[in-house]
Amino acid sequence: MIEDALLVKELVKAAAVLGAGICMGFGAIGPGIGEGFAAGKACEGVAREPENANLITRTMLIGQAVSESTGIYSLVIALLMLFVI
Amino acid sequence: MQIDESVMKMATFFAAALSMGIGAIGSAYGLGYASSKACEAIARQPQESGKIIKMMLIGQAASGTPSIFSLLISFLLLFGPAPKQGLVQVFAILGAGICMGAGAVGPGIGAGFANAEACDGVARMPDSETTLLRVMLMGQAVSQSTSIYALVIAFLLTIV
Repeated sequence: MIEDALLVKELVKAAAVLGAGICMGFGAIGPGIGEGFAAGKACEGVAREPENANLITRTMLIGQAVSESTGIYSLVIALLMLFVI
Repeated sequence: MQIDESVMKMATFFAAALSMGIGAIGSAYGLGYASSKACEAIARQPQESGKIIKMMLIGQAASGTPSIFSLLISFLLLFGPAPKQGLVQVFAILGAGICMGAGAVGPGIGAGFANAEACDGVARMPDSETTLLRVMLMGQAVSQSTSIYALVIAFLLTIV
């Protein structure tokens, strides 16, 4: 009986660490692509209107911060699964 | 639960393969996309080829970084200190491999996009090269952050 309980606990921990890895790994794909896309279009914009470089850079950083949020959700959930569960 | 040493070895090899195998996809795509745009730009402005190639190489160094992280985690799994034996450790190692592998895809592609448009921009406005370089590197640094999160989680998982 006690052995069974220990095994279940170990299985839960094992699933949690695997889940943390999958969570952060796949969660990082989207923000990486999206932010790079924003940076690319910002470069295009600076090349077209170099005098507005500061405005374009600011807009790029704001958009990237929003796009970053899902990556941070993944990080939080991965850390929760590692250290809380 | 008692886990055999050979099972630990299997998990390690499998995780190292996942990390480097999946992790190479994104960076390779980004690097190739940037160089294709650079070729296009040079075809349009052959006299600016020096500046375009310089921009391409600097940007490619940044978009190749996620695959270097994958390589690092693979080496760590293959030749690093042997992990403790246990069911949790098996899954932690597999998780580390998937985490770093999949986590490297996005930043690799994204940094490649930024690099490609910067090469295009140099061909269009060769005089604003320094501004373009600054914007490109800033954007790539932000887009790189998720691969660093994945690296941190993979490190944490290997030492569970």
